[in-house]
Amino acid sequence: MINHNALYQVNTEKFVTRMMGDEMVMVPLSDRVADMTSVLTLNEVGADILKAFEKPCTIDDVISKLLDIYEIDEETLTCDIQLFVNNAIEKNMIVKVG
Amino acid sequence: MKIYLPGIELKIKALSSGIKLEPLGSSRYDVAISPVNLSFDCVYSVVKKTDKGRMKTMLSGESFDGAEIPYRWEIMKEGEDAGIFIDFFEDNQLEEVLCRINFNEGSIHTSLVPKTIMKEVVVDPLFQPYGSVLMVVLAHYQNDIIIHASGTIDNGTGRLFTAVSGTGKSTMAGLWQKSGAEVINDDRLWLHKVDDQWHFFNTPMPYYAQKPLEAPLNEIFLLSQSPRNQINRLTGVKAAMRFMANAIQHFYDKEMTERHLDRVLDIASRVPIFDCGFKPDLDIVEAIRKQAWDRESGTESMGQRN
Repeated sequence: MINHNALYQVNTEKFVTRMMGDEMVMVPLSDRVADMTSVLTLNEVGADILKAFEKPCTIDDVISKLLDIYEIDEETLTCDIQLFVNNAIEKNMIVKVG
Repeated sequence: MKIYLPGIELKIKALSSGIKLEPLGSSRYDVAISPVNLSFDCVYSVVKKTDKGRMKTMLSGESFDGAEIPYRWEIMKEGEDAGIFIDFFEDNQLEEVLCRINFNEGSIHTSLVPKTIMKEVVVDPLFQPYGSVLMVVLAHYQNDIIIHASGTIDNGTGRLFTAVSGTGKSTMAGLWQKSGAEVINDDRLWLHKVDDQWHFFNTPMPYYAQKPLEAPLNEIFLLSQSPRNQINRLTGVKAAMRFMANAIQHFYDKEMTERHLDRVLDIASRVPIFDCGFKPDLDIVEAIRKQAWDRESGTESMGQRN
């Protein structure tokens, strides 16, 4: 469950991330070893959301950042971001840091 | 004795009696076919038992079920040094092998524990599986990639065909050979950058001697068996990740994974990658030649079906 007051960040300890063009690839690390069977790829939008979490920030901070990039109404974006972030937390891609 | 791998010179010497280094698979690798960037003094000695000291096991594995010479391998680390340990379950000559690679000094010290009945151990300096594991470690150190793939050169165009075992790498290489191309290798290739261009090289194989060969990496094909020939260009991260799936990936820390990913993405951003379903006849060779010609002449867009 998302906590709107909490700070979240990309889980750089557990993932190696790289950009290729507009897409992002995330390789999970399990006990220091790369798990090449569970590589995640993100499209341009997913990559923009993840990049917004490079430094610790709240969900509302990210929504605000993305409203500057995309022409979209705040309600739709908020729904999309919440869905994405729930998935990202479940997959351990982002973690609560404060 | 010297053995040359892509970008690497190995100066080989037996340090003790009781060991005879007799190149088999590596016998023709005594000439460099690419500029030498790294040189290692490699000494081999026979010992009664191995001592790993403070080396820590980072990765380990075993030979596949039914292997002729079953073994267990470990890749180890101590500070900047890397180590390799092989425990042979049923070898005619050896019980164990321990190797320490000191990258700062440029030295590789390999200790062999023979079976007690052996008066003299006779091995290729890159004997199986030690040589294969050593090449993986050295390739990574040099920012290269080793991949399960066959490779051909056809009128100056280098093509790499990668797939899981049993899917058709060797079959595809054989078809190109019948069509007049040269086969670089049909099983394993070492990808190495020369003058900012990726090339692929064959490597000393365990049980046969091949002369060292290389080709520029111009096209990559991800093979699958299919009732008809299909060639479709892949792009972006999807192409890169499917290519990466067949690379040998013995990585045990974040930095190694980062460097490998950078190499894969670099290749995928420079070299066209194709999904290639094929039936095993010469039509696929002509279809691949045609797509290359069409692409170079600008008459083909993203994909082609045959």
